[in-house]
Amino acid sequence: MHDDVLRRLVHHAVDQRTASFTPNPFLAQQVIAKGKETKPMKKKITLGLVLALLLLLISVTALALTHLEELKAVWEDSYERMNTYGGFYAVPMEEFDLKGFEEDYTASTGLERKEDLVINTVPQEGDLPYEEAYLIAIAAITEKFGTPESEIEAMGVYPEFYKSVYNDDVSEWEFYFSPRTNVNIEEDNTYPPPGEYRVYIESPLGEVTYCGWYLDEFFPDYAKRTWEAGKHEYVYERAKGNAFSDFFLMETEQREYFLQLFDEAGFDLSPFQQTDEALLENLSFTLEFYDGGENLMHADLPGIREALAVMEEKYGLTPDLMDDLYYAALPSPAASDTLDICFSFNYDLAARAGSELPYPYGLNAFCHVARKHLGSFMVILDKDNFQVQNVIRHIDAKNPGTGEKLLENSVWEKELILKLPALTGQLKQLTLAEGESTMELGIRYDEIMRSFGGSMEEFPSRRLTAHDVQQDQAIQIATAALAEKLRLSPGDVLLAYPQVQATYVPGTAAWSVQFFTEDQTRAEYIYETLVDAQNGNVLSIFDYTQGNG
Amino acid sequence: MNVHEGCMDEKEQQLIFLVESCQSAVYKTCFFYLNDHALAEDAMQETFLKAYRSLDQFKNKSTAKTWLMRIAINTCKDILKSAWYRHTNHHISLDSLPEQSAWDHQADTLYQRICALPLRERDIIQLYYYQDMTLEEIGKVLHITPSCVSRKLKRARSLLRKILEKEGIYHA
Repeated sequence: MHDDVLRRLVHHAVDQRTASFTPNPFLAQQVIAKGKETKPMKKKITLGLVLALLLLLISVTALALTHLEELKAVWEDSYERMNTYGGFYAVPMEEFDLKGFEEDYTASTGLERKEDLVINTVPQEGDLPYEEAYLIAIAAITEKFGTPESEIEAMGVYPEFYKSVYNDDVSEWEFYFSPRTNVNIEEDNTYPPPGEYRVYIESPLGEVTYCGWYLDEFFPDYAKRTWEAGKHEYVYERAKGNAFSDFFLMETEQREYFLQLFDEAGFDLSPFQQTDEALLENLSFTLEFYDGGENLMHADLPGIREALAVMEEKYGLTPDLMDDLYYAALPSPAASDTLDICFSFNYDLAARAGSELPYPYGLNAFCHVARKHLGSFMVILDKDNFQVQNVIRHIDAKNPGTGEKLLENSVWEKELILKLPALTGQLKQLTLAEGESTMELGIRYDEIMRSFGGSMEEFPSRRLTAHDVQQDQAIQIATAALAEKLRLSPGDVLLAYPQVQATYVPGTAAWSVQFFTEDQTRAEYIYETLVDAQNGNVLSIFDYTQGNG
Repeated sequence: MNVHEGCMDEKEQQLIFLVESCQSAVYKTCFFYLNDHALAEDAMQETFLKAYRSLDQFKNKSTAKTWLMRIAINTCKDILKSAWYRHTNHHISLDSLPEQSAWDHQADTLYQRICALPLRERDIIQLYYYQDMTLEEIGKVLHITPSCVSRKLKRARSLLRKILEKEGIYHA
């Protein structure tokens, strides 16, 4: 997928969430004023109390400081060995500003109850000491993963101790072990090899509540070592689980090595014995996002011609039609004894085309519909003589449908695909006319799609007609509905919210009736009522201020 | 913009310039991490306060925006690491959001999935895809080399694609 598309999507997603932000025109002055603030005067207390507190503080602080310095030294040593940098955030319990926290605490801070507060601190008397916790962590990793102790001890260790402010019984160690140099453990949790171990240990009992190693992929070296340590089940499950596609796309020699191990150990190999159909299904995600730039659609190479010919013969998919739908011809990324050419919708092609259009619509919108009805294909050819041995298709849609029109059917076979050019021809003409709004363009697109059998549900945009509820009526309906909700008369509703605005939304074929207060400085409406334009039904009433209906 | 050492008035002028040019970007960065308007505003103010206090130390080794981003990210991470963030549920359900007719639920799903990513993936996504920074600028913000940024970006890109595919979200 093209970066520009990703950028646009991320922008839209974040901008939507932050749309209510209004720059503070006084921010600079506020910051300057705060920057000039002096620290508040400390309250006076009696001398006797001061001395008593001082003695207590000295003894507690001395212990805390010792632990603090000890843990800080562990972090700094790890930073040095790992050739990286970072901070150390633990504070002794007695230095924590509990009063400040309680003053500032509200439900919006995220804690359901303030008693749930735990802080990053140092162990006190009675807590599990660092040295013991460390040994427990090492043992847990060795036991679960078979990692040699010497290897763990060579890693950077980043211990954190957490304690509840309100409940002395709640405390826990968290250990992070990272083998990677030049990586900031606080900022970089990148999981490609090698990853990091995490161990959580209850204090003071020393019970391990969690021991994990973060990795998303199947790493042969790690898997070999773990296997040799006797953790066969772990390796087998990794190969079969989330890492399955990575396992499958490994070099054949490595994959065969592990399959032999699994076989000798008596594991079920059926998850790894893929039919061509299963292979294509596993590859489909990779194919759709493949951006290696090796699109062979128009490459004059042996095998490609034969593959394209059979695609047209069997499915009616010509190279031009596949181009219109942003399909790419790609060599299969999986190792094979045959020449395997895959035809798949490609996000990168569609995104690149979309970013070049003044307003991506027509075919660029349709391609995302078409891919669901077409799926992906693999043409299997003999490597020597390029004879087509088989053609495989993978499609997620299950029930083909029996409608006459194109979009009434989930799966397009040749008979329906031959009708595609009639639709794509119309969509090619669909561009944003001068002065036309994008909503208008959306209406035209949905009208075309419905004419080819698309459902109202999937393509709902339509123009307001004379038979629909008109604006005045929509406002009346919305006002009455709001009055009922607020237990007011309609007249009182309009007194409370004198600014009423109704906009027809083609995408939902509904009226959005918005109620504003008299306050002209308030940009947002207070209530929004959606009224179905077709039948006048109230679809929803939303209280903007509460975020609920 | 070059930020120079200078007298107090000049320092205030520099701050005003920073606020005027970067307030929105800083706020949105903070929101990206904290996912809460009130906290993001607090973090934003804290960021500018730290910047104001450190203006004398700014050495022009990076742009002002890069410098501010670094402060903002570190400020947000401090908040995330702070006491009450340790064991809290930060999931925000769609039910708590205004259900406007123009609300793009798919976009919001994308936003939620991004917020659920580990911090360093979020760093890259927001700096590269939202703040439109170059690899070199990102490296300066995160104190890592551009080649390291490139590797992280590759992973972030892959994750974003997976999210989009899984959620059935397509480009607008």
